[in-house]
Amino acid sequence: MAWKNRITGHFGPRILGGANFVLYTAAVVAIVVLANWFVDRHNRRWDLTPDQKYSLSPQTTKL
Amino acid sequence: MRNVLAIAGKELRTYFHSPIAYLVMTVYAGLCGFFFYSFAATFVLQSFRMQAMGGMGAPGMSLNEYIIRPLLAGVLTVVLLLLVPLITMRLYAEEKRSGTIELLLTSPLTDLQIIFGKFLGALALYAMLVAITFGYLGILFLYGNPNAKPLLANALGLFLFGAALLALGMWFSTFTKNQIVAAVIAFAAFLLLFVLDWPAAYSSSAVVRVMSYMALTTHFDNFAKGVIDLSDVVYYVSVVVLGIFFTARSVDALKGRA
Repeated sequence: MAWKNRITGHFGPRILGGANFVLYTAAVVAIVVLANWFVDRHNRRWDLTPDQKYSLSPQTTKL
Repeated sequence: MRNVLAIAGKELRTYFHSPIAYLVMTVYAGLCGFFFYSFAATFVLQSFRMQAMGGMGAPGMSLNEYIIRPLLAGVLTVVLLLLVPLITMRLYAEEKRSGTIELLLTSPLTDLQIIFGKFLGALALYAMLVAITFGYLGILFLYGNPNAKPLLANALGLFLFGAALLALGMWFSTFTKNQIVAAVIAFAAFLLLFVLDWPAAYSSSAVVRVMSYMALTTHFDNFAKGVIDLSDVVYYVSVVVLGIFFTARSVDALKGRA
């Protein structure tokens, strides 16, 4: 905890709060970005049109 | 949960005590009606022409594809772009202007309860706009036979799209005590998120692909077609999560200053 005292001694407790804030925010943004990236790689879709108009035919997917 | 619902109910009542709810619903119903009429009229004219030419062996025109899809993806998203800032602008800005924000910040409710409550209140008003849309689409069932199943995807898409805009708008509303400023920031940001996929027309670099992924419009067309795509759902849910998270951060920062 010595380093913590040294930092807070110099700049006051605000800077630790600020670093915490930035880290926390960056972590949440990173998780969301990763989730999007992952789902984009392993995508699934459900075509609700009665004639499956927007899905590839089984013949195409076999290629 | 009961606290969240209490805040949501209070927000919803506030909308109906001010002219905002009536204004937004009337404007939306009016514009929606005009666009619905013009797409339907074009459809009728087109199908008469097809019949006059004997169909030429072409399959019949689908109401879902020629009315519902262009109505939702083409115009209603743009109308919402204009109207959602009016719904979200007062959420925090009004509390800051009137000074009630201090009561909110020091109340026994947690910040997240308040944020979710405000979000749900705005979402409830937005759900009424979605209901108006489906009132018009119901007319198609009276006079034609559109497919009902793709409407599930349409409803889900419209709902997620609005939720994403509302969450971001709520965040922008924490920036200022002036509602007009909050609305203008929200509108500018929404517009930017709308056109973020335009560079994709002339480039396919990695940056442009990411920009295009971030665009609100890229993810809506599948829903309008009647296709539920998991990555679209995750995208809109992510925007909602980030909007709520940033609102929480912003409210936290307000506390530090108060």
